[in-house]
Amino acid sequence: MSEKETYEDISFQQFHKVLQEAYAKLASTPETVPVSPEEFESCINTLNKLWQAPKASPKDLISSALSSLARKSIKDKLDWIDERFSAAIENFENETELGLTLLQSRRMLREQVWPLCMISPCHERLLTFLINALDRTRPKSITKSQLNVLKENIVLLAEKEITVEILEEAEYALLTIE
Amino acid sequence: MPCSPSNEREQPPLFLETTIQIERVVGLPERKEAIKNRIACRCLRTSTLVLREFKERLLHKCIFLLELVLRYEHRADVETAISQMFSDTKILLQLWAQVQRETIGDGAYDRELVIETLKSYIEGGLEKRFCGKPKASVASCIPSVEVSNDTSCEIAPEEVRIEHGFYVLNVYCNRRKVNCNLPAFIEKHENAFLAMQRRIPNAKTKDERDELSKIVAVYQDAKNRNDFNRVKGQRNCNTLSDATIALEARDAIIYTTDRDFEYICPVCNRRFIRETTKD
Repeated sequence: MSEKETYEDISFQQFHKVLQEAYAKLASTPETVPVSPEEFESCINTLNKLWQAPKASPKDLISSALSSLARKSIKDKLDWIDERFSAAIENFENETELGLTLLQSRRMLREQVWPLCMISPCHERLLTFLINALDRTRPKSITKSQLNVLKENIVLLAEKEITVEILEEAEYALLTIE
Repeated sequence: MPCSPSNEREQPPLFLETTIQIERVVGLPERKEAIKNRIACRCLRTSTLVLREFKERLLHKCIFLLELVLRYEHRADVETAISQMFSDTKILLQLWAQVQRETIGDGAYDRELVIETLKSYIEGGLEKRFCGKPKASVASCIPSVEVSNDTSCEIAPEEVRIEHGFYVLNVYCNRRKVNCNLPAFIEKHENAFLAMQRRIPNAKTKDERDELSKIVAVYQDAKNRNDFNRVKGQRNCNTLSDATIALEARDAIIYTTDRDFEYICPVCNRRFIRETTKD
């Protein structure tokens, strides 16, 4: 779709095609599948309704839909990390569980969340702080409160908006982890 | 002498304790050979509780090691990370050495091959070794190690899952969530714990006294509160595990490298063989 086109110029089929292509791109590796095909269809149906009474340009609609898909996918992955942290905190004496949680969470953030984190520069910066903090951690010396700080800030990534104030607070908290 | 079913029946069965099961996989070659010779032509037993410990101590660490190899490109960095990250690096280093024995030997580090080998361990390779008999007894009528389940451990059957492309294994036992048979098993063998309690004042060494005291403290706590469910769960089950394993071995000879069985077995009227290091 070119920049010059307006929503009157393209059909819903074309719009659908653009979204499907974007979906295929996001789903290029099994680990980064953002949502199930059923969820994707449901998203398309919602957009179809919006299409009937448009309040935004197709470009905005597409951008908003992609952002929503990415957020949904990020949320699934962050929920998984959150569960792993909860298990590690519950089983705190097990260094292997702790070490696995830290290493796998870091890899998840780098390999699967990072490519989807197109929401805002603040999200990207928070992600960088988190990965750096995870890099500094060691299972033999990390404390429960440090694990909780990491857990709370990882969950923040699922927020639609991260303000500069929140980011600064997160940066300060994460810098204390070593 | 080749094994035969009659050879196996002539001798009492051996009960493979966790330390032996681990050494069979990651021990030094001479230790593995000694174990292999000892268990050849014997009926072999083990238990789900041993399997749980094996998964926690070896399989879970294997997943961790894989993550380290994926994280660090160079062998030296993996080794540095192992030394810096953990309080107890013994089994991790043994596992790391075993992977290298089976892949590159003294040759150049082949990261991809190491990753593939670790994945094969995780995806059933280690568990297969747990239940396998040495090649010398392939002709035996008993194809594998018999696994008893007196405690009905609910963690032992946990399988490695793949979530979001990551290997995950639950090794954590939560007292409130599991419904195993350990409480009934301990209650049934109360006499053994009372015998341990009587032994404590006459213990010959501090190690013996400490080991028996730890076990008896968990038993006593459950007894005093009239709630044997308290013996369940990660910490208490682990404290009791050597005693539990000794009791579930019954008529089999416990085969171990763990010195604690020298204290527990005589009190529980169990026989054992301890494989020691030749220094």
